Amino acid sequence: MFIKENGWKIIGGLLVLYSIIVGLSIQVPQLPIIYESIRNLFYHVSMWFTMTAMFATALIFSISYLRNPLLKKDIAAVEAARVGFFFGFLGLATGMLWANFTWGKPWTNDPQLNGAATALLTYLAYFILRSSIEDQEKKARISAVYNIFAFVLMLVFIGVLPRMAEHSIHPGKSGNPALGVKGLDPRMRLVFYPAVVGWIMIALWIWKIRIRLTTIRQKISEF
Amino acid sequence: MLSNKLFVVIGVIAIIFIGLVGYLFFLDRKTQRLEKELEDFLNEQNKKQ
Repeated sequence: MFIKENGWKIIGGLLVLYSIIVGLSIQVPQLPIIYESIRNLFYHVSMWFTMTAMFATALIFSISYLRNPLLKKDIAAVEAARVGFFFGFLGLATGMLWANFTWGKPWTNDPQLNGAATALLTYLAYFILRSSIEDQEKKARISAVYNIFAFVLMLVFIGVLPRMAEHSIHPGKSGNPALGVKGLDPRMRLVFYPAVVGWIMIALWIWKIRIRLTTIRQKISEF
Repeated sequence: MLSNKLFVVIGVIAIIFIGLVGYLFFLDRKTQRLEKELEDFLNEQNKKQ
């Protein structure tokens, strides 16, 4: 019973645990400037993938809310956006630490970095928009529409504009970074993919707990 | 790997991560209890009315 209900949580934890243990102990290609810090790919890039997955989850529930307005869908959408934002923040913070030791300063005016920051601001606006509307149905409807815009803007800011820019020192500009067959060392890919899947599972787990807590609060306020 | 004792650091990080996942399980159960308590309370209130 416990395993049946919680098995996926254990698998998510084990995948991340695997990425920590194997990711820190395997041999990695020694590239100039970054050297061993290339291992950050397993951890820093996973944060961004997880953020995108959670924002996509929020998008699905926002669209679903507009088709059939149920309060629980609105809760699912906003909580997914909150968890996604948290992972995005971790992505920025880890990126700044890595940048400090690779490019000499935590923030370079690189299109990828500015795009990522703007994408997070887009979602910050989503939370502010929500908190500014009192009426629950109105809040849910307007923020669901905005959330669709926010997702598209996020994709443009972190996926399209940086690739169109002439100069970017941030890697991963040609093809699908980290996803393509070319470009990533096969041994590293064996750690990176499980890390991404594991972190997404943990994010979904946190998301589920947040939904339940918000539902409890909702029930109390209705009482 | 064995001589530079990096495995000790990996072990420490692994223990911290396992601890965090365990804590998440604890929060999960706590939420479950809270859900049940609220459900019981609401049922009781409905009966009184």
